Amino acid sequence: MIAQDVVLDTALVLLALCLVVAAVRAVVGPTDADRVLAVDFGFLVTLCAVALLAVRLRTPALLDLVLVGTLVGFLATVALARLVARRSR
Amino acid sequence: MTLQTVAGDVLLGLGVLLVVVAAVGLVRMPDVYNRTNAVAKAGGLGLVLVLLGVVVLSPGPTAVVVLLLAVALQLFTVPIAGLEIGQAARVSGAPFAPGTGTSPGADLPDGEPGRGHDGDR
Amino acid sequence: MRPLALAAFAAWYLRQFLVANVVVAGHVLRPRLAHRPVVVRYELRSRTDGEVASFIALVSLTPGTLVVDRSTGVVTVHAVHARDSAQELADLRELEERMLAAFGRTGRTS
Repeated sequence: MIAQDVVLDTALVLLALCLVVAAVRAVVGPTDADRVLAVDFGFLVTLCAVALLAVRLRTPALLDLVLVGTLVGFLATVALARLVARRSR
Repeated sequence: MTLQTVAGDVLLGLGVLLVVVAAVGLVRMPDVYNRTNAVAKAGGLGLVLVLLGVVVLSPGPTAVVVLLLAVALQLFTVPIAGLEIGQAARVSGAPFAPGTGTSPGADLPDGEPGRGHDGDR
Repeated sequence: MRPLALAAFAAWYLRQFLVANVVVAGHVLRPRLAHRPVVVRYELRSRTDGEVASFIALVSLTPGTLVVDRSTGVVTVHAVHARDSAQELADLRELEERMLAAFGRTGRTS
C-alpha cells in the first residue's frame, strides 16, 4: 500500500509541474489563442490531479468532480476561443 | 502489489507521461497551431488513460459509470475544443512558424498586422 | 448503415490514432526540433452535414492534424509534420475515402 502511495505522489508532483508550465504559457502568450490553449491544458491537468487524488485519498466522491470538470472545461475553452475570434474580427 | 494495482499504475503512468509530453510541447513548439496539435490531443488521450487507470484502481459500479461517461465526453469534446482554438488563432491572424509549407490556394495570413507576433516573421 | 464496415473503419482509425500519438510525442521530445509543418487546402468529397462534421471531428481528433478554417466544401488543415503538402493531401483523402465507404455512401446531397 505504501509503494502505491509513492507512485501516486510522484504522478501528482509531475502534474503540478505541468500546471506551472501552463501558467507560464498563459502569461507569456504570445497570442491570445496561446492563452486559451494554456487554460484548456490547465483544466486538463487539474482533472487528472483530481482523479488521482480520489484514489490517493480513497474518496470516490471526488470522481463526480471529474465528470463536471470535463464539461465546464470544455465550455470554458469554447467560450474563450469564440471571444478571441470575435474580438479580433 | 496485486495484478490490479500494477495494471492500474501502468495506465496511470502512461497517461501522466502523455500529459508531461504535452507540457513539453507547450513549451517547445514554435507556433500556436503546432502547440494546439501537440497539447490538445496528446493531453486529451492522457486524461483518458488516467481515468481508465482510476477505473482499474478503484472499481465499483458508480465509479465505473461516472468515469466511462467522463471518458466518452472527453473523446467528443477534444476535437471540438481543438477546432475552436485553431479557428480562433486563424481568425486573429496568429503567425505561422517560418518554414511552414503550403499547398496551392492555402494562404498564410502573412500581411496581418503584428498582433502577438513571435518575432519570427 | 453497415456495422461490419463501420467496425473495420473504427479499428483502422484507432490504429492510426495511436500511431499518430507516438509520432507526435516523438517530434515533441526530439532534442532538436525537426518537424516540418504544412498548411493545406483540402476539397471535401463529403456532401451531407453529418459526413462533413464526422470528417472534421476525425481530423481534429488525430494528433498532428488540425482544421483551422472551413467554408463550403473546403477545409484548411494544419499538420505538424508531412513530407510535403501533396503527401498530406493524400493522407486526408485516404481518411475521407475510408470514412465514406464505412458510412455506405448513399448519394444524398445536402
